Amino acid sequence: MVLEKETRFCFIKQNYEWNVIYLTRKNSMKATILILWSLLFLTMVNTAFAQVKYEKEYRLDIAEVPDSARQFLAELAFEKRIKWYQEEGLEDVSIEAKTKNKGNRKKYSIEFDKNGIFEDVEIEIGWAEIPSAVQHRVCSYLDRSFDKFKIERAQVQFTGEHPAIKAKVREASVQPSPQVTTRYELIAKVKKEKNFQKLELLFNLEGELIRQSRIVSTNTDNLEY
Amino acid sequence: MAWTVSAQTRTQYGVLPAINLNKKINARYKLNFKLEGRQRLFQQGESAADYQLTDLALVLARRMGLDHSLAGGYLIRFREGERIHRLIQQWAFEGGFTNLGLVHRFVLDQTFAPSEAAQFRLRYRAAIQFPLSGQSLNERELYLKMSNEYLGELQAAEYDLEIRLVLALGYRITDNNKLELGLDNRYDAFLRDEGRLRAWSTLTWYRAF
Repeated sequence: MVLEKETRFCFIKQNYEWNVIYLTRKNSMKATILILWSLLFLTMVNTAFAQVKYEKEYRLDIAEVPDSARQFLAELAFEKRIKWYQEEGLEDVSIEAKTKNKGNRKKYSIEFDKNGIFEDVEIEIGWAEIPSAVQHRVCSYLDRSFDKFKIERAQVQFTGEHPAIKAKVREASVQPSPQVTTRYELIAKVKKEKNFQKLELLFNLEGELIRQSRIVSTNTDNLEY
Repeated sequence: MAWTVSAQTRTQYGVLPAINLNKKINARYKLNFKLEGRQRLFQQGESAADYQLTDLALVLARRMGLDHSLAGGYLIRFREGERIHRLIQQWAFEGGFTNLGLVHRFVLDQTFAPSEAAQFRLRYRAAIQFPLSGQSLNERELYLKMSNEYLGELQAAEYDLEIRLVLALGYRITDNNKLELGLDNRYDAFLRDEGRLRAWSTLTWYRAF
């Protein structure tokens, strides 16, 4: 079987830096099967495309934060100021602590449910800090699924047992480790069939899409005119 | 006044009420209509109340990519019995921050008045807004908007530069309905002589359909 290779480039701009991912496509029987699977996958993705993420967010006074969440943060011993927020989604309410880690100077979001039960830690990272295998699969997915895309923000998300999460935060690491579950959350602007949308996408460490939701974008007419 | 200006600087103060209506035609096209009046109240510290002008502008914008758009339009100005015509070409793009709105805007315009030589301008403006509560702007919340614009002007072979600085307090009633109250400072004519500082209190209603 003759394999014809077609190399495509995937440009990603984040934090004013360009990153290039090379995508190689093979025209073969295997590729045809893959395309059929992709079409099936895209049908499923189109359903996911309809999901809408709408959040209202308010500042919370520390007195309004559940004790368990406050205690959790106290054990992480962040040195920078912590700001608390309540986020109201379409279906749920969560509480979020936002701060900067002095160790790596990165922005941290520690999320709890409305009762103060820990859910996850999200750390803002650069595209280059995502493992290259994940980068490649994410880029390949975006390139397959949309006519155009631009990644605006990337976060690494850690979930797991409390001691492992606390150790992860204290060592100020954004790299995956066996003790915690690592995922990557991206905010991307995409264009598909003449429609422009802003999406929140969650990928696992294998680069597989776990969740995709459309972010209700805000009107910027007052900044343009 | 925030600017340091010389004692010779000519100053004006007035009000600038405006209505800004936006209609989304489809995913790519959007129409903007603006009605703006200008009432001068003081000049050089003396009362000089006069109604100066009314602007009516219509701009059609086409989204060209993920975060930029091209627009073209026409403005008619009614000033002291004259009708002044202006053609507008605009390129705007969003950039920078995810949580904050930041829009860069480049404009070319050509103004034709019966009593003056044609005026050609190249403008650049950066406008940003910050929610005053939380990290994202919700309904029924206040925000702060700032913009800084530089206008290069060419008229009758003479070049001028105008600098504008706008600070406004906004209230987002809904995403498509906003009210802004601010101060628009415009400093020009400083390349050739002492300069002219005009400060306008602005009240703008933004409504999208």
